[in-house]
Amino acid sequence: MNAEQRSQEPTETPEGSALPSPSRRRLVRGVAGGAGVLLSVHAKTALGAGVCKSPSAMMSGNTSPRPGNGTTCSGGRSPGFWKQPQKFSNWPAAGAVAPTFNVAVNNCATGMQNLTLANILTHGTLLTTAGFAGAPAGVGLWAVLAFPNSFTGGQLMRHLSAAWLNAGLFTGLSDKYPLTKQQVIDMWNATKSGGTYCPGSIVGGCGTNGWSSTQVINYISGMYDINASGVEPDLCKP
Amino acid sequence: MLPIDTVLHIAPYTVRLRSPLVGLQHHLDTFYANAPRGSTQDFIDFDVQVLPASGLRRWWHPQARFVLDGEEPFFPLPAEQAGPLFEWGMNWCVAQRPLGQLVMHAAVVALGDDALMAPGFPGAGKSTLCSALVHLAGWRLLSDELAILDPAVGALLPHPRPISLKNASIPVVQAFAGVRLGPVYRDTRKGDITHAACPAGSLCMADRPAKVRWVVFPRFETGAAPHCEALSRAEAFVLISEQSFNNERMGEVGFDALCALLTGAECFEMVYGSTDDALALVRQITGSDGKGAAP
Amino acid sequence: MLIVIAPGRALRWAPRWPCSPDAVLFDASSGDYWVLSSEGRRVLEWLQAELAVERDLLLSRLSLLTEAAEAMLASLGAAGLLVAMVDGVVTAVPSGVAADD
Repeated sequence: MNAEQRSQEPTETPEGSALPSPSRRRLVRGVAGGAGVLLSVHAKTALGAGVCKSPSAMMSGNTSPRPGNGTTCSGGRSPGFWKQPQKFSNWPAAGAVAPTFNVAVNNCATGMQNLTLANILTHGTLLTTAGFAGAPAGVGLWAVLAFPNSFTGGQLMRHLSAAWLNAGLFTGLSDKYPLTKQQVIDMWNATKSGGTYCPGSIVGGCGTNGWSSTQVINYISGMYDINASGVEPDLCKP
Repeated sequence: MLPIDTVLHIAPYTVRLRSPLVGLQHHLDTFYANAPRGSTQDFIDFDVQVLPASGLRRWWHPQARFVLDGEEPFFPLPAEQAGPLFEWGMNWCVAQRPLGQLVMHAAVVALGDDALMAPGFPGAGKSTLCSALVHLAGWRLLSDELAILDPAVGALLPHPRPISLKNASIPVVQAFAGVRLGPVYRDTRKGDITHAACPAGSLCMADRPAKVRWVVFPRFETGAAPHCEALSRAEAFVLISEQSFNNERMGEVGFDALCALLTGAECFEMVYGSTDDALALVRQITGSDGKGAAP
Repeated sequence: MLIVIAPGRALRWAPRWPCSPDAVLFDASSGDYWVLSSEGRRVLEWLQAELAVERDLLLSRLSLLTEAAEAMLASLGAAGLLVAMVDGVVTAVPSGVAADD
């Protein structure tokens, strides 16, 4: 995918927005008689969307100006990137082994080619091997990246797996992931059973401001694709 | 020492800008020559650098990067687009770090201290409408993108910067009397873009907030018969929220501020097929002749 | 079966704007918001005042046919505003004929 096409644009065109449609306006006008709820909007959280920062910087607000330290943050790539067979060449650089399948996967197509969990021949790096203690035994990173809903707590494992891979791959000064693999494991250990995560560097602890698993997910997913353009394997020419 | 190292007062913020890029210097000379300058002793709201890319991209298809407080929020652009990159970056700065204000995605113009706010649905023709009101009908520009509401005073703060114009709106605005456009950047991520300078009169009034009296949702449709229709405030609340809070949740202060804004305003949808029709509809909505304050 | 406002909500109403029968309701905890019809607003206001109301009593207060009233309560539940409580256990607001209360 062309990195130039996936920029974080700061103005206009929030995703999914369109002109106010006549049908949408009728709903809000209350023409649908008898209905209690005309419209229901669940807010996305403010955590991390569009901003690449370490957890401690995120928690501390970090509004004072300071000079750059020469390191540029990268938000890493999303589960949608990591799960694609076409991107498996990035797994070794991230310190992981990709899965293999019992069907041929064409490197030059896009998408998942209708792969399912049943097509796994070898699992690649397992969650437990990566350090996610208490994760389902025998299940690989790829399985939760691609099919999170097949596992209890799958969404948390999915995003933490992406974060773990990002921590292994984005290590350069110009695109440095703000978490280490150990920090990703710390997030897992803290939140997997319903607890909250607090970075060790916060002096005095987090009090009631520790992050739940939902907030961990929002933090990690809010950064995806920020300054993460340098690793596209150019497998196929149009 | 970087060639550009300056502190700009871009109301209501103070921005420190450092960059070695010649293209950005041209952009500053064109659009910010009259912006008040400060010093590094002032409290800096946004510490911005526009830097060349590192490594190969410093020389080969050179790129420019927008860096805020040492962090880089989005992808680089080609170095010749340093000017647009600065403008997009400033929009991002204000939208992402509101500093106690409620920031909504909308164009804002005013007659005297009465503001008209046009929430920013893509493709609605907001920027062309904004340019027309400013250059042809005597309205002052508060912003073409960012409605900055100060909850303490219940009014919008001016943030006058160049108006961003894209594609089909460029030739339309180019024809307006008195408009001053910068260079046209071809084939950017958004197509062709340029900027229209903020009129001097708007810059002079950059310290005067304006209360919203009209919320207008513009809808440009080629060949449409001009008409406008009142919206309920509940409807306007939803539409503004939808456009403005996509990446963040509205807090309680924002909710109260938006409700207060709507309580004091009339809300309309406006459909038009030409600039003249748009100006006529605005005159109808605001009861003004465009030459002075609304009655 | 009691109907209560979903736990954890910190609800705020937008002003009663003239010429606007619809009501905007905001949850300060999450940033979620809803647009409610006038009947929906009445239900929420009853529950804000009375904290918990028997489902049948709520249904009888609404000037709607039973099916419509049940659907309306269920929609408020589905939107995350209301829950049902039976013997102290929280469940979803039922959509049709309820199980034995």
